[in-house]
Amino acid sequence: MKPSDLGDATARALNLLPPGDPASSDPRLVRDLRLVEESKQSQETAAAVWLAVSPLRVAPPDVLLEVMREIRSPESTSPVVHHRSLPWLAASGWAAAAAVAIYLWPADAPETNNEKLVKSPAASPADIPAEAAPSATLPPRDARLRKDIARLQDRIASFQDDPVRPTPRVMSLSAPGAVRRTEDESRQYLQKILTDALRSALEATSGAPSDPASLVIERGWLPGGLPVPEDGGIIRHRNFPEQDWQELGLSRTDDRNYYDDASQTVWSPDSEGRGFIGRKVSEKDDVAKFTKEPTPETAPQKQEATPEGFVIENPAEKTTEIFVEGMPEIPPGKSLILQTTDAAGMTTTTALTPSTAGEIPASDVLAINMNDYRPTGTGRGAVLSSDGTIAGTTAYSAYSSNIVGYLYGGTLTVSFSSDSIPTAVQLAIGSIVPTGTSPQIILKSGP
Amino acid sequence: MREGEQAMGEPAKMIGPDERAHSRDGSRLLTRIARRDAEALAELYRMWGDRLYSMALHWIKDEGAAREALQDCLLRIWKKAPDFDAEKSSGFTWCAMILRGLCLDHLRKRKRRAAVWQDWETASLLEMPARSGVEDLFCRETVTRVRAALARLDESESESVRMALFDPGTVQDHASRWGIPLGTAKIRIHRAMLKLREMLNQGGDHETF
Repeated sequence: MKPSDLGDATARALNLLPPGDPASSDPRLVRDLRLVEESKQSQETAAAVWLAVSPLRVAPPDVLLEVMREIRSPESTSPVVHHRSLPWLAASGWAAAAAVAIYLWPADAPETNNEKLVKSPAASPADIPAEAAPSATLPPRDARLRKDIARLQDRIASFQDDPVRPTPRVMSLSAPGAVRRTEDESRQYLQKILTDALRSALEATSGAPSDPASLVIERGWLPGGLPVPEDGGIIRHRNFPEQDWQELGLSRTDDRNYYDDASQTVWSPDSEGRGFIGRKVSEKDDVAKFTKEPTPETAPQKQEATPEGFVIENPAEKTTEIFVEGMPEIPPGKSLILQTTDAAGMTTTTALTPSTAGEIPASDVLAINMNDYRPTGTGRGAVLSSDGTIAGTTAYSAYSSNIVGYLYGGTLTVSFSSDSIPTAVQLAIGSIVPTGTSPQIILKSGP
Repeated sequence: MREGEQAMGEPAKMIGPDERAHSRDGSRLLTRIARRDAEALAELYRMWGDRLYSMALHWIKDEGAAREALQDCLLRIWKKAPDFDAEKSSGFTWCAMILRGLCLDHLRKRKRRAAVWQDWETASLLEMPARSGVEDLFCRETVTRVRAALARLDESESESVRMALFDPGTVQDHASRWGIPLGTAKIRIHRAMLKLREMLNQGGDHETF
């Protein structure tokens, strides 16, 4: 091997050849194993040195978003034909992360039929109607998708141990007597939720030929079953509610296949372990083998949902977000009572009353209507009294324009901003008028 | 830097079993990207995005241009992933070389536009970053090895490496600057890179740095 050949290989590998240099088209450089290895080693060394001498910086968070938008554009995507259009994330912020269902529909379908929410498995099917909030109030799907993905990206990034970016503080909310997660465990759990949501969003928009599902559901169910395309398409459920199969009116086989008579859908475990695949029942399917009777050895153990929540505080932005899964139903006449205490010991109590008090409203997106709050006193520093009333008043006036709350079945999200960040949080269900009964504390922070 | 990652596209002798496994992960991601799996591209970005951006920024010293280079790099990875051959390159090195091409394009355009090209712009590029800043823990060993290896090069070799890796000129430009024939300049760069590689491998073998 002549030194000049090795010199050519190195120069070519490092993109140093001048225009017209014969080495640019020398076939030996791509055929001779020694020269190929020389090129490889030169590049490996160059990459190692380049990396080692470059101080670590955080990449701009919007680069990935731009790239994703670019690769989804018609001129950039592969010629594989997909019958799906851009998805729409069911809600924004934490709701998107928690109750996300990505519903795909042909672009020319009416918007009002496109966008439906899937409730959390924690609530009963009757609680959640099939129709979503009026789409007229929603931003365009594309813009909303980009916004939600960006937000999820940012959320995920904020949970990395990144010394450059201020990390939100995570506080665990647990039911009285329940085992409490550590802060690290809470972060990991939340990051998983967000990563799953982002994964679904990206997967649904990727157009990956290996995953032809036209609907990707992160979690949840619809009362009438989940719609499966009639044209032989499939949908995928990442967290198929196996434990709730009887409650959902499904029948099953011993090998974990399920049949939804309401939508005539057969659900089978994804061979790649990515949840369950749903498809329309066909003549080849023997529906008779599905049974509604569980066998003792195959019946999954139904576990009661225990509410669990997290408080995410961002001191830099002075925002607080509360995220609860497994929320119990709010009985008629009762409200959700949020009590926060800041570092100075100031306690603020806020009643979060559904717009139709005491009932799950006829909308699957329940905006907490602060106008229903009726203060029973004046001044701040209110606490829950033993008789179930709110002593004093809440800081409603301070929060009224800031608080945003949503309840999706069993998933509650509340976010607000204030000058003082809470150091303790408690959620209870109680009455805002005297009833003589103590509020039921469902979640609280701290020991 | 994010946990559970391995960025280095190092010579095979320099990486341990765990690192090699991570390197294979990069190859798997690229294989998925070749199948038009956008999620894999997002994973790759989360795994190497910071490092690639840092490399671009360190070289071209312009945040906007570095951001653009990173974005273009990801798009090229998306488009060229079917060409990736794990036998010929580690995943990270393959991505880094795409980025290198983009950075070179940017710098060469800038050089053509500049009335006077300031060679000092590349003078400090081989200096190792201070340990007091943000540190890439997963590459700490590599950084240590590179630091030691660079220290073993003589002045001429160090100059050759620096010019080869960070000067946007071609080897013809370097030959002119050094006053030597083109072929000699190629061999000079090759020998300097070879010695650096040997020093790196020695560091990997002894792990005493």
